[in-house]
Amino acid sequence: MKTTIRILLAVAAGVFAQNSVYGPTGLNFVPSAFASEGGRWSGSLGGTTDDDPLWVSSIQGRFLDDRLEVGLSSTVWLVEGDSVGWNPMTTYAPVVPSVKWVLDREDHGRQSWGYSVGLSMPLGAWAAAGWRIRLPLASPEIHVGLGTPLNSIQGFGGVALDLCDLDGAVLPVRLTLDGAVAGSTGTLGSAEESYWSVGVSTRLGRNLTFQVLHRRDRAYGLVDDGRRPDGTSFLRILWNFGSASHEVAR
Amino acid sequence: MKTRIIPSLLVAAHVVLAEREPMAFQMFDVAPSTSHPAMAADLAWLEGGRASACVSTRPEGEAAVSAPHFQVLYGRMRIDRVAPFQVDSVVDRTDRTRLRLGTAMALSQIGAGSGEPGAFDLALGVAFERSGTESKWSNLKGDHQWIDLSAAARLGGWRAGVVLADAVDVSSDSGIGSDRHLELLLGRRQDDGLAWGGGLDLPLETDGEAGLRLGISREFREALVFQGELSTTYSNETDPESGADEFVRRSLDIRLGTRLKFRPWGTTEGDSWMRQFVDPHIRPGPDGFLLRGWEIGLSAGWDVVTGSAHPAIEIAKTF
Repeated sequence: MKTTIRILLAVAAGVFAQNSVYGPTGLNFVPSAFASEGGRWSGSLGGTTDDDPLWVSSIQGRFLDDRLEVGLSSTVWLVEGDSVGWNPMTTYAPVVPSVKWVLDREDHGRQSWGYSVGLSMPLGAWAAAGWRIRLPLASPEIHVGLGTPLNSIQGFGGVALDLCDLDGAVLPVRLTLDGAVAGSTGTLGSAEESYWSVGVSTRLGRNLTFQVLHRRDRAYGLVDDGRRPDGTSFLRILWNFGSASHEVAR
Repeated sequence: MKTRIIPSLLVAAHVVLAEREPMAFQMFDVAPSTSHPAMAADLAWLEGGRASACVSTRPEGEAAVSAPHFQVLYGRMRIDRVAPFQVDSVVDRTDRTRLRLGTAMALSQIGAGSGEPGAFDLALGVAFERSGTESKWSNLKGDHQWIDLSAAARLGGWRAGVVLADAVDVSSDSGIGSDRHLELLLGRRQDDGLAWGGGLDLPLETDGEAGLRLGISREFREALVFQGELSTTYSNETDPESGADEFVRRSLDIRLGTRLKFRPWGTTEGDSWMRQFVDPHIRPGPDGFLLRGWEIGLSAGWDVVTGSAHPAIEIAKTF
């Protein structure tokens, strides 16, 4: 038992890599309002678990005292409503760019507030606010934002829960739940993506994180119910490395 | 605030729903930090004036001026009803105009309270509203004028209020019925920039709608604001086949918005890079600051039931 606890605490000394499937650091698919912690560089590689897998990968780096994050992802969007149903779109290599700028972060005791803006697919230009509190048993955080690629406007949000020991030290288990709702602006056609997803992450070591995701997309009443009517499950490996990050100064 | 057209006069039910959609300035009226108070009583405690213009993709145009003790709001909107999740499938179009005039007075302002910040105070407000609706589908027009009465109390950062909507029916065209209902609001504004609140709409008519609203707002550095609100309405309806009463959800809306407020950057706030955004300085000298007192905001509302979205851009000037 003591050995198990020692192993858990040793693993807990690291931090989770938090690359979202769409690229920017965040929850499962949506970006967060905070900069990621841990190493300056991070990446991810994963795929869906069905017979016709989609491969997703990403890589990010943080600069300017962790205010600026620049990344590349292989995911453009996973669901696009069109005349023939849902049309996932990914690229073979991470070439879809993303940028995230942490405008502000405020720490008040155990609580932290953050505000970020960015550019990424499929959200387009986005802004998000987030809140986090450190508690002895579990540390929750909430992120909410909105974004637009012009032809639609999307609201997104999610929660993450880091399980902790009774002293507030983060254990290597992280639960995430996020989702988005989109509507066409009617200006350039329709590209709507509404979904929810749930994920579980666990650290495999100081720099490696393993994540299991399941995502459900909303049926839009199209003739074709989509290629993945029972949802999409992902397995991902994430890692971070490089020099320790700097805390974003107010 | 809300107008309901009697369905028995063959006016389509969706016109009723369209009438209940809030205007852009009232998308975040639950949290006490709203830019243009939706409850007239809150006008008594405004510390400055604010003029706003707003456009969205409906198309829609709104203008509002709120100042201590006074508010005027005018809006025009065109609401297209489309088949869910299909483009270019407009099956009806409703044009709507709305005018609102509000005023308020607090007890502390007539010598009945201390007026100290944080002390208990009570305010009373009155709002006159006029709403005109024209359905292109049914080619019917409706005009309604009414008065809302409101009372609000504050103690420290807490705010509570009650609105009797459609308290006095000034005039209404044939076919337009009263939508008298009670709105209860409770919220708190904290020193760290966080504001939150909840609201409950209680129908006073037998076929009215009940509603629940939850809102939150966070201000960063007194310059960046992020707002969110969730609202849902229910009505008690009779199933035409079984005759049984059912509690039916009529709407579920999510609203999110963000604003950037350009303001003078304080000398004690440090020479942060953010100063360039909040207080841009384009020329040397004290008159070289640009955009002070202006605000720009982006917001959107999503109807989760139908999937429609209504983004809006607002430009405002404080005075």
